[in-house]
Amino acid sequence: MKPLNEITKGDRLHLRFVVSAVAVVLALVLPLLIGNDFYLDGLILIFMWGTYAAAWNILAGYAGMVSLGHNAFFGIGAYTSTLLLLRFGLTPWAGMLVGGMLASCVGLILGIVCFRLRSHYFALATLAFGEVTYIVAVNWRSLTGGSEGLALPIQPSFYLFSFSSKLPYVYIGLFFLLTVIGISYAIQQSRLGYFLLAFRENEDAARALGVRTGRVRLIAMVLSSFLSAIMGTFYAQYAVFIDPSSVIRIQLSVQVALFAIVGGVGTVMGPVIGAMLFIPITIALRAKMGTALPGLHMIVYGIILVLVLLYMPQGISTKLKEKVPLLTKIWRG
Amino acid sequence: MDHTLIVQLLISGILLGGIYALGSIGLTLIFGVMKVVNFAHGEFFMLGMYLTYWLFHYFQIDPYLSTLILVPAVFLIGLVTYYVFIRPTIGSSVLAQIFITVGLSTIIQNTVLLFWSADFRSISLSYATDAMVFGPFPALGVDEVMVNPSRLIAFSLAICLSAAFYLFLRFSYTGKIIRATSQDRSAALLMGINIDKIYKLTFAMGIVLTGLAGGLILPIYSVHPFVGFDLVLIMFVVVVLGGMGSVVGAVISGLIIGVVEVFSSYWLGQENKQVIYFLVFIAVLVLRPSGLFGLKEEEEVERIEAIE
Amino acid sequence: MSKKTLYRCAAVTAVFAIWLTGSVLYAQENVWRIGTIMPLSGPLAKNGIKNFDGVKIATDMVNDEGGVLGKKVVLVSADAPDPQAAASEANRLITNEKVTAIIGTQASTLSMAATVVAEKAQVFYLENEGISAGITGRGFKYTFRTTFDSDMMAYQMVDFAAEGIAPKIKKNAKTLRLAIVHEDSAFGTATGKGLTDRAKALGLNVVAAEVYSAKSVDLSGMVMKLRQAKPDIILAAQYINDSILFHRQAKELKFKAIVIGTTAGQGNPDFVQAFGKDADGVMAGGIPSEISVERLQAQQKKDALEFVKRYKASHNGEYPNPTSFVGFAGAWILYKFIMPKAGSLDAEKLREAALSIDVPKGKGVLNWGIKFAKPGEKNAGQNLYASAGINQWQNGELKLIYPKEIASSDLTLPK
Repeated sequence: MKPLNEITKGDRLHLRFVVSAVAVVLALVLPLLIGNDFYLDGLILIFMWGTYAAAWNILAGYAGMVSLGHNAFFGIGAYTSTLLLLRFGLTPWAGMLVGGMLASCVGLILGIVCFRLRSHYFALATLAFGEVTYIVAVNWRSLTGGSEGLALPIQPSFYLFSFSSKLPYVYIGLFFLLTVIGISYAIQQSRLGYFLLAFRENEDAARALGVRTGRVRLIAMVLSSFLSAIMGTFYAQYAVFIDPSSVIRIQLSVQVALFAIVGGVGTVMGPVIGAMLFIPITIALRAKMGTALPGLHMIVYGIILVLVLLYMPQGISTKLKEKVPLLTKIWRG
Repeated sequence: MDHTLIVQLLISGILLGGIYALGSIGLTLIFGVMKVVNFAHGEFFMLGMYLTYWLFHYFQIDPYLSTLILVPAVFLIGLVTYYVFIRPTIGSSVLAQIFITVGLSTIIQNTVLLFWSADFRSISLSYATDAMVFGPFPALGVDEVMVNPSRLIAFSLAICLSAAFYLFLRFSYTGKIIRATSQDRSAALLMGINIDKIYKLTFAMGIVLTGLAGGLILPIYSVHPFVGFDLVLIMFVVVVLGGMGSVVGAVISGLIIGVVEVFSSYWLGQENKQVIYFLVFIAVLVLRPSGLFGLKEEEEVERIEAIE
Repeated sequence: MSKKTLYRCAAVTAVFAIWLTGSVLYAQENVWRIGTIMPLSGPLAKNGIKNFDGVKIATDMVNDEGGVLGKKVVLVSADAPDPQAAASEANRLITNEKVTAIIGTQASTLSMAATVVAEKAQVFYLENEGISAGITGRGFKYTFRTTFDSDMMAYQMVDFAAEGIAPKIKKNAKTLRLAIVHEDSAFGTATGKGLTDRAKALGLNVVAAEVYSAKSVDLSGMVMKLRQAKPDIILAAQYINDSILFHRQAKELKFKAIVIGTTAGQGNPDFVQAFGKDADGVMAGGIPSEISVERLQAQQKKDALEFVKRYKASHNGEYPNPTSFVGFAGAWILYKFIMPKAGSLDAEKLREAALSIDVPKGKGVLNWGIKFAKPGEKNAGQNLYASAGINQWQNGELKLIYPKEIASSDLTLPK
């Protein structure tokens, strides 16, 4: 094996391909070997939250717009496909796309209205937007059923996007996760990615160089809200019951941002790593000490979170790249 | 239209606004100077409520008197929090900083749950919860109107504290340093200002104001481990609307939100009131991105870049 | 970070990870393992913990008698602070802990999410407190509710207002002015629906109907609106925090009316702590509290007294919270009636046993009987012989004033 500093660009591409292929094959085969529904459930949640966090990261990581209103898009996705199914019998596969498009439109409007706002102001304006969506969903009872929620049919059928086994959900989740990773990677490599990056680092300079910043940001917003809404539908189909507090709670936004930040904002794999780490921690802590003393598992969770952020403020994936030079060698020259 | 009703709603709205203002002063101070969005704000509020509650419960100390004990206690909590959670993150990622306060909030809530249980605790003070009746005022066509003493005290203190703070920031030496730091950290550093000391002071002062506000509203609200979250969203709205870092702005926007809330809940229904004030909030932000009393946008950008 | 600390961190993390992921081995096979899902942390924790206390005491009682059919009951418990957690924990109990019967969930919102998971996995789910009519309104095969539902409670509240209170304040069905107030989560919405339906059916005059969020920081606009409407009686489906706020703000604005709340709000001990003497006269529909144990039948009286004794022993002499009573009652029905008949924890057998039980009122637990609505009925799985009651604060104690057979006191109206 060649010393690290002699790795050429060709080797790097080659290595990158091998590593990615191994990871994908592993992800495809692993679920078949697990065979325990509990672990599969964890895997599904990791894929769902990983995708959701990566979608959030497209806006926050590449365009620098930290949104705390992504619960609204998740909810719009869940409610659109569910209502279309319950009212018109439309298959959730199509409902999912309609929900995505609706969320994109809402995202676009929100974007046009709020993109003058910077940093904290944008975060808090989107927070308010998310909260408004929640209140509307609770109070528009004739449409959403209010807090009593909507129950989906549970007979297994491909048309209904409903399966009795957990495996199909695992693979559908994996498909979305790989897709969003692909999109993030493409963005990072493309002109759009450079524009967004330029824009995030220094808006004025980017504008002076002719980057049409407004449009670039809106594209990020549309993509991000579309993918978040898809995950909303996915959750609805998996949980077969939705209500405002499970799909539009403000805490969802905080949690999705948290996964991305812990993993590393603005990196391709960061948000996924964040979900991969924190979903199992959440589940395991709740299972192991949820009933020992009330709240104890949440205290430990909070401490872990604070420690990770204190020691790795740039996120785990950034820290990993620092500590394990090989990773950097493979991914970035 | 019924004059009495309008006057009564106005009074209720202004008194509610007083509570919002009182709770927001500490938040806007920390926001403005340190650029830390403190998601654990509500938890310090809750701690202030609990401390006051225990002092009343075990020693029968009147909640207004117990502020004398509360202030130093909360100051200490603020200092410890600063050293353990905030200081290590200064100069690092802004996002990490924000989410450390999310973690902190989880830790505080659940520690309180663990030790003090999820009971809803309140104190019952007849002098503080009764209504003072004013009127009738036949000349204005206004019948009797009601004012609650606890709310009146909270309101008056919000006004006094914000005035005092305004003067302190404007005229005292420390106040000037704090403002200088908030406007341009790098320049302040070059001028030989001890940033760490200023941050420490600001953070602890902000926490004191927050805890104090919590103690003062205990006669009105009951306290439980998750009370902070109900209050904190609205306080964010108040602070941003007033302009981050503007104490006077926080008071005025607190009053605006209070009045809007009470009137909209009367006419448009209690369930829709939040929609109204959140929309007002988004609208104001869009028209005037730095809030009603914030610095102009250009200055704001420089400030944020200087921090980042 | 030096290399050394890095290794140390890695070692600690590894140990921690192994501890977290390692599964527990169950040596004792000869026990009944039953899952429980309650909100033990988060905003609903207060009642969740109290309900769980009731379930635990019922379990201790049955184990001290030698268990069910000679085998002890072991609870495998889970914490569900929010609906997503409820679903996830239900899934964990079923797939990893392999339980086939679950007791839950205290709050309607959580129950809606958790029961779906159980239904999908064909696991027996016994809801002991979540009262939203929707829980049993979905035609689920494996969801059974031991307590009354929101309609049963709401109807009783309206009936009591019209028949019990109206004559005493010299009103009749035509002249009585009612107001309906409810919070907007699943519990309040379902109860509000029941209240409205019943008032309409009886042709009562509803002069105001208000909905609000239990997270509200201020209710003064709503109080003013109610004051303008001048109701005689307010029927209120509220939680604790907002019920305290509501009564405080009513007092601040000098608004008085007869209030019938529920045991989720006004009937909670924290309510009387907040108001002291001012609480007197406020009513709370729902779980019959301080049941006049004396009037229960012999066996039921013995069980209830034993429960009260054990609860007091573990709670500094406090009388059981209404929530703990239904927690106890739910578990007791499972241990004493359903399981002995099923002879196993197989979900199918439990289900058949539950459907075949017909215990008349008064012969079950408390003053309840046990008869679950059959599949195909509108309310499949609902215990039709459970009943709600109306309580009233009198001299700082919550007295049961209705139904008469088990009431411990009479209605007293404030002068």
